[in-house]
This record gives sequence, structure tokens and C-alpha cells, in this order.
Amino acid sequence: MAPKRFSRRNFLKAGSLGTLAGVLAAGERLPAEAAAARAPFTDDPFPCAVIGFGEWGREIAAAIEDIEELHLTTICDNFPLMLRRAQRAHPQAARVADYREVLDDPAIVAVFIATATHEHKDLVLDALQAGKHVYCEAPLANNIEDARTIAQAGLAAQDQIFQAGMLYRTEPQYRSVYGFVRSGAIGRPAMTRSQWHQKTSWRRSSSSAERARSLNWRLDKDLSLGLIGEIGIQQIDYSSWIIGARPKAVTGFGGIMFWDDGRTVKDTIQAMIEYPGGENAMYDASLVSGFDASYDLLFGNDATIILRDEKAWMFKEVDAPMLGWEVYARKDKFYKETGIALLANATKLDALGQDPTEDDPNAKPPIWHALKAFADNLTYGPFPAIADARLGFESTVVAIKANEAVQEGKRVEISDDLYEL
Amino acid sequence: MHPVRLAFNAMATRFEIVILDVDPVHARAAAEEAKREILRVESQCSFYAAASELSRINREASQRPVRCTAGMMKLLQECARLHKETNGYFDPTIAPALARWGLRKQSASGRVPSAEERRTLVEAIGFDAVELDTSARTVRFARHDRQLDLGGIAKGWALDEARLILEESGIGRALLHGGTSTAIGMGRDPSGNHWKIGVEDPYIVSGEPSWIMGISLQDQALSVSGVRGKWFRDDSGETQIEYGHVVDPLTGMAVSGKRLSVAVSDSATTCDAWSTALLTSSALSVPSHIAGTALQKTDLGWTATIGAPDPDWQVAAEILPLH
Repeated sequence: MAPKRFSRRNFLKAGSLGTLAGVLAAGERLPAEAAAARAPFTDDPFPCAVIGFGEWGREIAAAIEDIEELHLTTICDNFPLMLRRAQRAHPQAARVADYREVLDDPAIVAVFIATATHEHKDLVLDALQAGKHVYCEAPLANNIEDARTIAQAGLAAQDQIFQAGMLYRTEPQYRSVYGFVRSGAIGRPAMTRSQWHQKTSWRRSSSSAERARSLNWRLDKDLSLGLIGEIGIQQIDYSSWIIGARPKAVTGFGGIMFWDDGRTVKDTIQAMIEYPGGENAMYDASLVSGFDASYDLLFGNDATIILRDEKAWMFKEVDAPMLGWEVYARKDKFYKETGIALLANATKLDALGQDPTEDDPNAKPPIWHALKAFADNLTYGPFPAIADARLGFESTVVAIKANEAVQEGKRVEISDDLYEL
Repeated sequence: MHPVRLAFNAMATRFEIVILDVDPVHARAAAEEAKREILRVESQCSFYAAASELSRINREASQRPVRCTAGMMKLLQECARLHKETNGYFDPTIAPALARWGLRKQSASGRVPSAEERRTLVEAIGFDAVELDTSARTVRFARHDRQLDLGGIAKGWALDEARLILEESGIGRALLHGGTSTAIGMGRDPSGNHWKIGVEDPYIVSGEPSWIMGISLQDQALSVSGVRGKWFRDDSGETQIEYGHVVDPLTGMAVSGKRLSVAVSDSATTCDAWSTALLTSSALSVPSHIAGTALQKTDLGWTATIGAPDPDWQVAAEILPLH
């Protein structure tokens, strides 16, 4: 490792600003012992590895290359074709088929796990055991026992970062709307409604039939949490964050309406998630119709907010109180309604001389923000991650029970003890 | 063999992938992966999306070297190769000229720049001022007025990348096209012959399509460029002149008249660049690894102004070679 230098990291870690950075990043106090637990840092980027180079692993690798604090040194996948693709996209990175080579490499400080959901447990446990910081995609596992084991290991590794891939917790627009709702701008949150529509088979291709079976774990109900668990976990987590509670029950429906190709997971699903305060979240997802794509609606007695494509608009009720600023805000027409654009970082963009109403040239996808939060934690932490092991576990519990409800077409209660770690 | 067809919008046009395979489920999955690859290239190469990789290069590369992805570097290296191979007639820094001619938008409301304006335009064009550092993987503009516009080559690049995905998925028989102007034929069509593409006469506007020629693609790519598409008619002179969306980088003049060019080679990227260059130049010689020709429509029919239709192409009407 390069010698210790008087760097931004060391400066922040040494002084009270270190605590401030942690509080700002995670919304929680810096554990006293954490500041002393880390080895000396330099300004060199952190060597890291991606394990699993499927579609989502490729997104993660691309985001890592766009974050200056991270250095993608190794890509791991046990499918030779994926390693060929890794060579094309990231020729500077080493390519290995066995994840133990990653874990045995002392230079690698962090791993990003993007394999199939049911393969996460051993990888996470071994990576933490090897002293690596871990980012694990959500859901954490396809059963509660494995998810609990992963989360417990993440919490126990106090000197290591464990971040779950709950994307909206770190996405600026979603965070901005969360604060907006918490300030009372929509009144009392009453319900939410989210959808994810995409016309696609959700199937991966391979020239090898055996490999194709392995690649298509998402379509196997014994391995996959289906649309609501693998995709909906993000939107349902946001709903829970907005409402401020954990779901207590889920009623689900679904069917194979179009892609009747041997799969055992539903291609079209609906679910109603119940919260203790009486609020409900409605969710539907389909691989049959791409109409209206993906969005989240948050309904309150004063206003409703829609989030789509990392943008947000507010629709006020006629009898809602004036907020003041909305008369100056940009407004967009949506059929018969007028939406007031809610812009994350509008003041900052204005200060940079950038028109906040134009497309942001520095816009990044949600995965970039999630990995940037991880990188910031590596730089200034370790602090409890915003999307920590407990949050990842609770979201995974909801995903597992929601999938159970959809697969069996019934109401499933989620008792408090299921959320216990 | 079961044909599986997937169509979608990308790069302001309609793409289509047709696959022949014994397993339609597998074919559909492969087509979707190829589609995702084309959409990825689109988001990377968009001139208009503020957050695209190309837009970031255009914003920052005149101030400092900009690090780019491995894929973008490979594409820019291809641009450099093709710029040289076409003697500069394919030039992806043409954006300022297209804007000045008013030919950037689909409903072009263009105007002819003055001779003085064209002289200024020519100075603002030139891929030679685009510096690529392949080891650091950076791009830098040596002049402040440079802008990259990959519109002349991105469709071909995206189709080449999609073909690679299909090959890796074990697909051997497929036809891919973007906006019907760039296409790749893989293997054989449903009747067991090579995929055959008809080149349509764009100046016959009513009735059945009129084919100028039919080209069989033997694991090859094809690109056709023409004046029609984004174009406008200048009525200011004694005669009406139609100007198309391709501008000669050496003179700053937009291509005019009833012209068409065709290029066939192993690579759709190469074809895209060469069909543009052939439409622009009046005296390019086509290298041996490309079959290409430029045509002009006269009262006598279509006349070859550069090269000649390949002997294997089925010419529907007699084409008179000028050279």
C-alpha cells in the first residue's frame, strides 16, 4: 500500500469534520471506535472487484469506472462468455472464474456482488470473512434464513462496510422527495401506487442449453423471488420509507399471461401491501405490456407526487395550502392536470450556472449514486451504510413474503418476529 | 425454423431483428439481448441527450483530455480509420455544418449558407483535431470549435455490436436493420438463400416500390445513403435544388440532386461511413474490401458516378457507368 499522505481522507478522519461527514452521509452518529479502526489511507482509488458479470454486474462495473474513488481491478464470472464481454468492456481489469481468487487477493478492498439471488449467501459470508467491504445486490437472498444470516454477518463486521443494493435510498431525486413529503408538503400520506411495465421475456440467451438454464434462474420459482421480489423490492421499499413503517401483510395475484415458455414465475402480477397505520401500497408489474413503463405515485390529502425516470412532479389539491415557491416553479401539463416540477439540487444547479429545468448533463443512474455512497463510506468511514444490513434484510423479508402471496394468490401476514435479526 | 421478429425504436428510427432458429424461445431471448445492446449504444452515442458519454466529450474535450469507456474509444478509433480511408469524406466532426444548413432536425427547414459562411464552416470541421490517447483511454479536441456527431456511423456500430451478441448466443441466421438504411444479413433466409435486400428508388412516390437493385448479403452488411430523408428544397434560384443531410466536409456544401450511394462489406460500421463518403465525394476510389457505388438519377435512369454495381447485385434497370 502506498505511504500515508496528508490527504483529504486523513484530514477529515482526523478532525471533527470526519464526524460531520459521517453524519451527513448516513444520517447517524459515527461509532466512536470506527475512526480508529481503519488502516492509513492514501488518495489512491480503492481496488475493487465485481462478482457476477450478467446484465446488472455490467451496470455496476460501468458505474465503478465512473467513480474516481474506485478502481475496478478484477471481474469474476464462472461463465467464459461473460469474461469475454468483460474483456471487451473493461480491458484493464483482470478476469477470473473463481471468486476465491478475488477474496485471496489482498489488494482488493471491496467486492460488489451481482450474482443470482440464491448465490449471495456464501459469497457475502466468505467476502466478509476475507476482510472485504461488501456491496450486495437486493434482494439479499431468496429465503429468510439466508437473508438473516447475511444481515447478521454484515452487522457483525463492524470494521467493514456492508451495503445492500436498495437503490432509492441514495438516489438524489427520491431522497429529495422523501424530505419533501416529511416536511408535510403532501399532507398526510394516504396510499402509494407503483408499477413496472416492460415488454420483455426476461429470459437470457446462451448457446449452451445447460448454461441457459443456469442463466434463467429468474424464471424458476424455486430460485427466484419473481417480479415482485427481484424488481418490486425497490419500489416497495420506497413506499415503506415514505409511509414510515414496515408492511404487516401482502395480498398478491398473478399469472403467466403471455410468456408461456416453461417458466414457473408469473409474468404479470399485482399486489396490495398493508401498513400498520391503515395505508396501502398498490403494486403491479408486467412483462407483457410496456405501457407507461415505470413510476411511483405518492398520494396525500394536500398533494400527489409522481416519480418517474428520476424526475418528480407534484399535483396539488385545490384546497391545499400555498407553499409559496410553487408560483415560480416550472409546470408541466399531464392530460388535464398540471404538475409542478420538483427538482433535486435546484439551488446547487442554479449556483453552477446550469438551468435546473434543463436535462442535467451530470445526471447519473440510481446505481451510480448507490455505489458513490459506498465509495464515500470507504473514503470517510466506515459508517453504517444508508442501506445497511438491517434495511436490506427487512426489504428482503417483504420481497419473500410478497412473492409467496403472488405465487399462491393469497394474503400473507408479515409478523414482527420475521423482521427480527 | 421459426422466425422471431423484434422491432423497436432507437436512434430516431425503427430497428428490426429477425432471427431464424429451431428454438423460438431462445431466439427471442437472443433478440432481446441484441436490442439491449443497440439501446446501450444509443444512450452512449446520443448527440442530444445531455448526460450521454458523447455529450460529455463534446462539453469537456476542448478543455482537457476526457477519459472514455473502452467501447467509445474503440468506436472513435474506427472513426479515425474510416476518416483516413475515405480521404476525409467521412468526418464525424460535421455537426456545425449540419446545424448551419438547418439539417439537424427531421423536418428540415434549411437554408444555403453563403460562400463566406461555408469557408468558416470548413475550418470548424476536421477529425484531425480529435486526439485519441489509447493507452490513457482519453479523447481531446485540439481546437475549441470541434464537436463529434456519430450519427453517420452509430447505427452501423450498434448493429455490429448486436451481431456479436447474437453470434455469442449461437444464432447463425438473422437479419438486422436500422431504419432500413443499414442492414446485416447473417446466414441464410427462410428459403435457404442469402438474405436479399432491395434498394428502393426514393423518387418514385406513388404505387408499388420501385427497386433499383437487389443485393444478396453473404454474412455481410449493407448501407444506403441518399439525399432524401432530412432534406430541403431551395427555391431561391432559377432552378429548384434539393439539399440532403450529408455535407461535404471539404467544401461545406450539402449534397444535392437525386443521388444515392450503396456500400457492402463485412462491417456495418464501415458501410455506414463509406456510403456517406461515396455520396459526398465525386472522385473516391473504393478499396477492394468494400463493394460500393454512387448513383445519380438522370433522364436516362440511374447512372453510376463512382464505381459500378457489383456484378452479383441484381440490377433492376440498366445503370450506366460514367467512369
